[in-house]
Amino acid sequence: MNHDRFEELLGRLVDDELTAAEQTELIQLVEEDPARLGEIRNQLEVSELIALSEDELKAPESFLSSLQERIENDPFVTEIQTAIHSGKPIRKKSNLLPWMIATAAVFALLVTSLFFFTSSQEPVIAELTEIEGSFQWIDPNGQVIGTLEEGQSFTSGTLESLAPDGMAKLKFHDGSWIHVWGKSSLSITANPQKVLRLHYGNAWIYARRQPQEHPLLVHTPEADLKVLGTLFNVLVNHSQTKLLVKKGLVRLTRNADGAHVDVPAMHRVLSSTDTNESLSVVPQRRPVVFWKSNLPKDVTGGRWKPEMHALREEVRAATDKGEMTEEEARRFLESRMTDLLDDKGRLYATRVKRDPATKAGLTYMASLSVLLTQAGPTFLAEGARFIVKGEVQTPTQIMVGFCALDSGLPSGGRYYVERNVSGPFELEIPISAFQFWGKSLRSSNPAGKELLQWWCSTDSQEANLMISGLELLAPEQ
Amino acid sequence: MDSPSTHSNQFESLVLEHHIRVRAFVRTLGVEADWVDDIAQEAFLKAYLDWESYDQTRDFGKWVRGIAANIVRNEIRKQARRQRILNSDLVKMILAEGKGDQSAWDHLPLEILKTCMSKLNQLNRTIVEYRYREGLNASEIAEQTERTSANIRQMLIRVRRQLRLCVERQLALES
Repeated sequence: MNHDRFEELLGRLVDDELTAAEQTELIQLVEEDPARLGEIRNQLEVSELIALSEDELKAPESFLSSLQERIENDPFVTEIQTAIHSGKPIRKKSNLLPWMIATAAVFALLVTSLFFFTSSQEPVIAELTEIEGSFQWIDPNGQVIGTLEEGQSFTSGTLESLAPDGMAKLKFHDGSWIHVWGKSSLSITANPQKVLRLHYGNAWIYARRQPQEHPLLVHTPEADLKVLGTLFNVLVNHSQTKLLVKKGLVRLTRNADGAHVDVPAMHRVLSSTDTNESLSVVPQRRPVVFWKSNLPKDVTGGRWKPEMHALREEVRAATDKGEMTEEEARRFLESRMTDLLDDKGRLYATRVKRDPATKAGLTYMASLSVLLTQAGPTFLAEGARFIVKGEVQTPTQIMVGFCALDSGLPSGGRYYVERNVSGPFELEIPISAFQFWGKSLRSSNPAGKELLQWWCSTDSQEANLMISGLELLAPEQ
Repeated sequence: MDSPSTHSNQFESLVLEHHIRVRAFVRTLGVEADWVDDIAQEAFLKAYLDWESYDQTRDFGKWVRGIAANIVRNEIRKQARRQRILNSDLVKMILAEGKGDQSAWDHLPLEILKTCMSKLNQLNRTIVEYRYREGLNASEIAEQTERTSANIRQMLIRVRRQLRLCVERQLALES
């Protein structure tokens, strides 16, 4: 019995899907029979060797190329080389891509040819495999489909979320998929080249290897991305496109000036319309289990009101009531002007359409993206908790929620908790208190998932929900 | 002292010679697959930076693997912040055992492994391709093959054992 369980846990370990509790169990089984540790090592070793043999993205050329890039970008190396050698190691271009493309092209061409020969009408190109929250589909004729369900198939068109608390997944016939979350708008075509337009919002894209002549293209207002086969995040917010590559290689071309960079695995780049800024490809920071919101840069939904703005409104109200003269108000504002910075302020919930799957009507929501300013992924660890600071004008019930994805897996879900608040509030909410709101995540426990998007909402307009700060605290050691 | 380009070329050759063993070693310490290359590269980077102190009569691969083990030790010390990178307690156990660098294979034989893979039956070969070439997880493979994910993991464990045995036999024959 123990042997079967050991094998089950061993399989999960090699698949990197072992939970903390399972790890403890596995350690106990190894303590019972220390020879099992050798079996663990053997399985991991052979697994890595098979990956090295089979996975083109792990080819030696790619490894060497990435290493050379790290060496070249290492500040110590640059400093030492400048000072001592006045030269730097020669960087050899990777020759990985040509043969990767060639092998992929044959398979992809076969698939696409077969598909198009069996279809006389405009072909179905993608299927909606997950949907949680409020979304609509707009076809090329402008017809809006407001009720979307899992399993629906689509030709070309645009998927739009109506509220920041939604998540949806589209799957192409070749197994490539796109996860969108938060307030997003994404157009897709595949004729046969897959072309995506992320007008705004967030997408996590997994592209199976594409034919050489038809690489997957992703257009954003600020940049064009060319993809052969990879896993990456694209975030379009605040007139910037942020690209985070998890696997593979993506070429980003800045629309404003045509400057381009190749972004390898575990690296990121930020592109805007400002051509004075260099396109810097930097390594992603390793995962962390804490996060402090960076207001207003993380805001994806709601209305950001800088302190100065809020102060002006308060002063205006005071003068309207006769509590202050115009002159007193002017002098007061001038005296405070220098103390107030644009990044100090409050985030107010604004009206959005309520998730049709749950409650009818409208809600008032503020939302933040975790990925916009974080330099790497943020994971929800067992024992972690959110600290939410804000204020309501009338006692009300608020809903606090977040979107999270399985680590590296194409499956996501939403979690929520409800709390009654009045006046200024500071809530400490352990992640274990959150309820699972979706149906597609394999496990309803948020621990171990990657945090993407956070939101807070109320159905009360009078409450005038305001958020002044949000933190995810790591578990206490 | 070597010129920079000589140093660079020599280093490049050493990386190409030893990267497989170093990457496999990092994985055997329990590092998650997605982070293996990152840690292995960091080990080579540290080796590059510390090149002057490298005694060229010593085994370069063993030296880099030692550096990699130290990187992993440091990662574990960072505890919760690295929970997603490593199964910390298990890695501690593996490091404490001290046998992580005692692979039966001095030169890891990818060519022999490929030969052994070609001998797998069609189903096993398909599952290996789904898992390692297409990057599907057990649940996705289960969906494709109409099996359970537990069944797929079990099959993969057996396939890896079978491949290991096959490689060892081939090596014994060659020697």
